Amino acid sequence: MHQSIKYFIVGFCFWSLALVSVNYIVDPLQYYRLDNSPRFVKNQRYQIPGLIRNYNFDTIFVGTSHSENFLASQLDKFGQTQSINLSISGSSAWEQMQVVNLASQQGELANVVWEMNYKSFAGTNPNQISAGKFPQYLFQQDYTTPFYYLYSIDTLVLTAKKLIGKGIPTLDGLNAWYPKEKHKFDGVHVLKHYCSRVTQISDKKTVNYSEKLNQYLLPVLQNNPNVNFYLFLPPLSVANFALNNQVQRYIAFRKALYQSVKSFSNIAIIDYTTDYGRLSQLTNYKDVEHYNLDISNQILSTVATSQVNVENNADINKFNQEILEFVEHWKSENECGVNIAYERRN
Amino acid sequence: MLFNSYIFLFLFLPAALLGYYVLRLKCSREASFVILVLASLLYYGYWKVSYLPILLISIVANYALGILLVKQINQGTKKLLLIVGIALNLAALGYYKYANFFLSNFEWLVGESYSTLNIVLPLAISFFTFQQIAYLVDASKGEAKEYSFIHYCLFISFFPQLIAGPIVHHKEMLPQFMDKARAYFDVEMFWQGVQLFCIGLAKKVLIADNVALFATPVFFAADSGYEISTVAAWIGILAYAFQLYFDFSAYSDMAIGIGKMFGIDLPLNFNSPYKAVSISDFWRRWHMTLSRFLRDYLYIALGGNRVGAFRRHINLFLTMLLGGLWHGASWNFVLWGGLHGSYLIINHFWTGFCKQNNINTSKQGYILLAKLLTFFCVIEAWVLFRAETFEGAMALYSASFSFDNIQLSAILTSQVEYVSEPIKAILMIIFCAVTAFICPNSQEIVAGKYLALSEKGFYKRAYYFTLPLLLSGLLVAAISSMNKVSEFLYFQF
Repeated sequence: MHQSIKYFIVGFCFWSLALVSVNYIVDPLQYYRLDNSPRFVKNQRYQIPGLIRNYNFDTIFVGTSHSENFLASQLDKFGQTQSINLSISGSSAWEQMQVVNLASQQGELANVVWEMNYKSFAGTNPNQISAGKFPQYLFQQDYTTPFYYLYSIDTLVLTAKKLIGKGIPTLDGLNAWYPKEKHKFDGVHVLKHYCSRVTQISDKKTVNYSEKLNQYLLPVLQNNPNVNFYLFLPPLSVANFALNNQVQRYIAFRKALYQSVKSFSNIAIIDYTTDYGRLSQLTNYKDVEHYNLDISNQILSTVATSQVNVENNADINKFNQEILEFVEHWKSENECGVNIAYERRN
Repeated sequence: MLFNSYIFLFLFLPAALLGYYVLRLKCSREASFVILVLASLLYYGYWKVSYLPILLISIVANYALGILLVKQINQGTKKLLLIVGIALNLAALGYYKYANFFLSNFEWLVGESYSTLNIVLPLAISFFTFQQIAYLVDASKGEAKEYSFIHYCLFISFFPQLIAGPIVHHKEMLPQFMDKARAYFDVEMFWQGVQLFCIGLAKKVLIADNVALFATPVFFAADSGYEISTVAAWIGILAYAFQLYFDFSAYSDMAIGIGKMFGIDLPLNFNSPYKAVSISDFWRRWHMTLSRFLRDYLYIALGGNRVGAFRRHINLFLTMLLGGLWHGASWNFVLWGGLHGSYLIINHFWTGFCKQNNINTSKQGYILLAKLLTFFCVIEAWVLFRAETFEGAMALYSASFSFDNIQLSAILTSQVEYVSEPIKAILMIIFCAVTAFICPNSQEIVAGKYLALSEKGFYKRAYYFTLPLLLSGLLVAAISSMNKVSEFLYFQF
């Protein structure tokens, strides 16, 4: 045989063996075993399957960056739960569904606190695309998963990072962003953010939210009748809803959500967008969407006292009309360059 | 089944190679071709079985027409047969690829709405239709022979080139099937094929797919109507320019590499196009087999440069316009083709001006400037090629030249909207640029052009030892990055 082909085959076997061995020994995602002095990987999409496999929990938090500040210890203080935060920044509803499905396969799941963000169900946020590729192989959990995990250059990069001591030492640190952004909770920031976005052409693509809920939420509810689902609508600020067609999108989503889940007895809807005072208190936000730790904690305390299987008599049409009028009123009082003394520079 | 999928790498390709060489060594060469045709049809049908009858009907009909054309002596009948053949091929292409496009434009013209046709575009129809039109034209001119049916089937369906080219010509393929010198296993050629395949796979998986992460969100945001900053626009435009190059040239490398593994040479399709010093030069280096087809069967058929300067430029423009439309049923592609047609006309005027005024175009400074200008023109045109909507393309043009609010701090603190890691994006773009502008291309590497040291003694041994080890490392890196499979861009055409 051609000498080069021999060397090529030997090289291929050598590199493959080296790759698999190093990744198995270091196991950067704690996929095979718990680490005594853990270094969690910042990319939640990669880290979460290892957490689900090796940590004990009965309650999970699922959502986007709006759920990242939920501290497990906070909820556990309110109720007799063992919680873990499995939020993924910028995640789509499809990704969130993967997380819940995997968590429910691993054992004793009793409660899911799931952020119902209409943007996750729209799937049209370009930042969601840039947020990174989704390692679906880690969520499939079949005989191919070890191959994909160990024979992976992504894992090798994480291995290298772990070996040089990079990573996050605590689980809360993996998700919570409030300590880093503390100084930015300020109404002026929010209005700046609002004015920088208000002139954007609105995203014209229409979203069939009922279809999306049918795809990503209802199958999970059906497959887990013994799990309690706390579906909370995050209190994005009024400035978010005032942007272009956002409030219309939101009310379409909320209506579809209420209608889709009304036949389920294992759910509770926690609607945090009916307290208009809170939505317009912009000092609680760091931009048009993200609220501070106090609001996160309030949501958790509400979750702790909420009951599933309580008939929901909310008049959704009335709620939707109210938020529509509220947002329109706010818009008329907060016009960029008129009522808001801020000039757009970009 | 993608080249960059486990099923192809670990099952289909080894099985096809094994079947091909076992039959070749134990039975006959023709039997090995039969197995290769069957493997190719399996490969095509694996995408969607319903595509298969379209390919088969196209092959059988064109083969039959080709035979009739070769045997026919009467020029009038030949012409009629050729017109029928070309019309049938274009009708199929028009129906599957352009029907909805024409329908929507008709709706816009008459101001009424009709329901869109439920047509699924068969994979590779643009490629196999062009190859067969070329065959029919040559058969009518007496430049094609009567080939065996199996050879003809293999010429059209040979799986490495079937989906996204190179667009092969019967004159370069079919003689190889009959060449007795190629009847045996050529280990040197096989090794060259392995090298090209490894380089191609690495280009696709390690470079194109990663740089795509910085292009896709920006174009998506522009198409969706979001506001884009100048920095994000340039990152998106440059990232896409390199994504397309590394993606498509990777596919060509792999196709040529697999061809060589089977002892079949496929034509070169890329020759470092971003090193081009003019747009004409660019089209001699980019998707070379498409350029060849457009030149030989469209531009020359329209009269080429034999009909005076004005008509020549019209022909050139029309050829590029149709070349644009070949890529897809969208006005953006037509505009892209038109833009390149205009570039070429300007290029011809400039070349004439330089000749008349004795401008020295061989100076280093001129060449560098020419390369940069050519690259700039090409990437600007890619915006139309990539954007899904005209508004999206215009938004990107507008953002890229607005030069508003360019802040270094935004880049350093990762606050460029729609670009998750701007520093990483810029480093990746620089790496791609260095690779595309300066480094030898895959064909040159495999040919050992830049490894003169390898000729003797110690260096020769090091070369034969080091290169396989490096390539095997590259292959392991590529395979271990394949857990997130993505399609090749040119599959959509």
